[in-house]
Amino acid sequence: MVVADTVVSLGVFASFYALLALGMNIKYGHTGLLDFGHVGFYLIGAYTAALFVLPPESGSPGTVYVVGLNLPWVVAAAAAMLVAGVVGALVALPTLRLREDYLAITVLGVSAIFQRVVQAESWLVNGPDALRGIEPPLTGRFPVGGRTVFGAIAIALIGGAIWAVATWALGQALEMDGSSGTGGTDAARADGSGGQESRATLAGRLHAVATLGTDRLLGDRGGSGRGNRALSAAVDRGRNGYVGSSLLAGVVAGVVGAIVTFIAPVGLLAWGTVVSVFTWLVLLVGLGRYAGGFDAIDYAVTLALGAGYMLALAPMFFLDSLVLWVPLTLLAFGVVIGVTLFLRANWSRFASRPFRYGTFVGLWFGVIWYFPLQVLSSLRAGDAMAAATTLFNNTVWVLSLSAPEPIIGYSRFQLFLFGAIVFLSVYLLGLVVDSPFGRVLRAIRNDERVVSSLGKDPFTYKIQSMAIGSALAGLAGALAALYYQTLVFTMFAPRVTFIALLMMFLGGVGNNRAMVVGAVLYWAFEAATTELAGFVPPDIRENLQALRFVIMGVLFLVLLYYRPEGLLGERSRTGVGSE
Amino acid sequence: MTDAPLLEVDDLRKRFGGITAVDGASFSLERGTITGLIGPNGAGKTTTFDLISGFYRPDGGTIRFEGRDIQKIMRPTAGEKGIWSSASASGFGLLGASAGRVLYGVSPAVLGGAAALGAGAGVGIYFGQAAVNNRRSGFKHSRPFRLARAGMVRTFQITRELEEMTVLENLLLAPQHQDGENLFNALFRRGTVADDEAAIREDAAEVIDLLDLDHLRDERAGNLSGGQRKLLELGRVLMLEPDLVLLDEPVAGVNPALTDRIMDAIASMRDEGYGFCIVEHDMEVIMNLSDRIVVMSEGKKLSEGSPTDIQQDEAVLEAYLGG
Repeated sequence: MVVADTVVSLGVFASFYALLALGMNIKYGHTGLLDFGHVGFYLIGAYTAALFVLPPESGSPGTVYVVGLNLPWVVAAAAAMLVAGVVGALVALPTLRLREDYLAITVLGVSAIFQRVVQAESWLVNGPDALRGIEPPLTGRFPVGGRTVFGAIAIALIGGAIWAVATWALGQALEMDGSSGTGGTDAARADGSGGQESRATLAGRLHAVATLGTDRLLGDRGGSGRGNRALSAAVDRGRNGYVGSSLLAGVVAGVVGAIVTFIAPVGLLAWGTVVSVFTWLVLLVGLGRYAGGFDAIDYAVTLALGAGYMLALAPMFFLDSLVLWVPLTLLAFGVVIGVTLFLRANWSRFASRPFRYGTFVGLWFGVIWYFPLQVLSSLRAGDAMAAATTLFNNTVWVLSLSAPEPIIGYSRFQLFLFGAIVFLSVYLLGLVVDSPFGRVLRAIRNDERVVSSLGKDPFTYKIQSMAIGSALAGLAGALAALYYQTLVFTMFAPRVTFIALLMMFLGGVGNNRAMVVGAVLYWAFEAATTELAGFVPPDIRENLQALRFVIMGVLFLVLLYYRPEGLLGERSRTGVGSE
Repeated sequence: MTDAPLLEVDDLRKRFGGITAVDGASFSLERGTITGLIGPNGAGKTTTFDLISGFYRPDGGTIRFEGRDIQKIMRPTAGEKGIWSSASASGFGLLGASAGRVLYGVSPAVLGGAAALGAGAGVGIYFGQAAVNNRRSGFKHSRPFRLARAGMVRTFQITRELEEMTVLENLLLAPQHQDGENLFNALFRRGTVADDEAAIREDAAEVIDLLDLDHLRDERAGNLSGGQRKLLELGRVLMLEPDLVLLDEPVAGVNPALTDRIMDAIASMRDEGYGFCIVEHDMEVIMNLSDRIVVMSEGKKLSEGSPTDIQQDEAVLEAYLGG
């Protein structure tokens, strides 16, 4: 299996868990309501969505459910949100009158009741047995290749959206840079040199290319028509300028992609390559900005450390005997961790930017896994062609190349769909949180009595917060139903709530974007440990599962000790938590 | 309200267990005046504040704000009652349906009937508990926000800041009827909200200027000194533009320079027509600032009059020095 596929399925998991964590973040991160029963709303969303899409009669005699509405998924997801939100508000009405810790416990109880009802009522959603046959949308249409109308439409949508988001992200990265870069005087800008700096950089040029000229089009409206001016005007207008040109560029890229794939046999491959390479470039630019001031030595040291961690795992690959590789691996890990800590304490470069160093060590580790490690076995077998194919496959992540012709498989479509929903949710929640409404929520988290003395009813705000958070959990449930296609009550154990909490603390309480990071990291850890478990004999693999939770717990403790505000800090906007 | 006093307290009583905190205090406040509320420790001043601002419910007596009984101001509106009773109805309806299901099995008639019964019980239970709560003495209110909306604001003896929020955000929170505090507006009427917000920010800038908090604008409130917190609380009150301000020890623990600034701010607000009621232990401050002074002792009003009268009042001196 190509590792890009692994990453795609990881992304799908991460996206609906990110929604779950976002819901938790609205409740706890922004309003301070500790909801240990979050999973209950996830359950309600999942089963509501399932009942909305299931056919009126189940095909198999073993499956019973109360009603099947046979409606499209969009309706189902909206209904799931609505029902979960309303139930959230209803549960909140009596429980919010309680003190915070009592609230947490009561809601935990409510979620347990939901789970029991599902389990016990066999007429409702098939009781203790799995509810099967939930059909995701458009499954018959995928995989899509080139030269079909549907394929062209799908590619226009997917490619356009990816392009728009990537361009926008690039613009954001530039803006971060531009805020200091275009600090020049108006006089300097008037003669066209103001935007020179950001334009002169590689990233600036990339952005100029990526926007496909649309930034000029939009920026030129009131200006003189020189390209430099257009770019600096876009920087001046900040976010909005970038949103406009990014969207337009996305539309153009989407249409071009659709036409190309429809006309030429290799069009899809070419289009996929361009889009993929573009996303990689944007990633590189973003990392470059993030590194800010790293020089060759910094990159080399973090690479060495990342490689060190990967090498520490080497005994696993090469030694068959468990008694041999376990102590060796542990020893190697001990050495690398020791070196890391030593450098952290004694080396000024590391000590001044520990967080950035840590991030890059992790990144290098991932890069080594994603690229060179995947071709190791092919190279050892001397099969350079296979190695090159694997590399190409992993680079052109947008396409699945395992079939004879390049295709976009269903999992990639799902990632796109879920990713778009998460992106939209984060964006809308950003608006909510930055509004006066969000301000009241944060004030409630700080001190409810003040809010009350200022003439605002904390209760109604808390209800709304519970409803929004629960609706998001419901949406996550709907997507989960779509993904799993089979629902069992055991999927909605209290554990899920705590995973969402973990993601929230990992990313940074109160920071919406961090929820996505938290979800991705959690699932990356899951995927990595699952892969590692493959090296262990089956009879002790089960113990390893338990060990995995122990490791997770220890890492979580370390995080809470040394970085209680989470990896991304509380709120990225105010810059709290950055170094 | 025409000629009703701004605030009228009549025979106010409050007991906590065996302790009588307020025992029949009566006084009234006028618009555009500063009234000092003084008395030895334990005289019941802060409890009186809590009663007036609606955080406690009195055991006896009435408090009228602009002629209206504050208990009436705080009463739930019909809409709120509707929401609560329907929520209670649906909750108990669901319980009823579940009970019907457990006892008699699944049949639409049984389930529907049980749900209807449950819903009826739910409405009854809601109004029943409301009635019980209304009668029960010492029932703690959670609705003082209604009084703030009506135009009466208080500060706290131990300052309460929104510590994780900046000074500016603390101030921006205060104004009433902000468009953006409605979730729908925040998402779908962003232009209106932005205009509203810009106006509020302008007001906040003025208040920050008035209180000399410019350099702390973007500081987290949790990092402010005690005196600065008092200023910030005062600023929040200013942003509300209330008719009556209840200040609980506004200058306690504040250095003399800051104290002067706070006093100036209060005096100039008074001249703009705000009414003040101030609890303060610093006699110099209270005598200089107040137009009238009410002296409390052991939960009762001991005396009332102008600062000069009070300074010569035998009973007051006795209460403070001996007795």
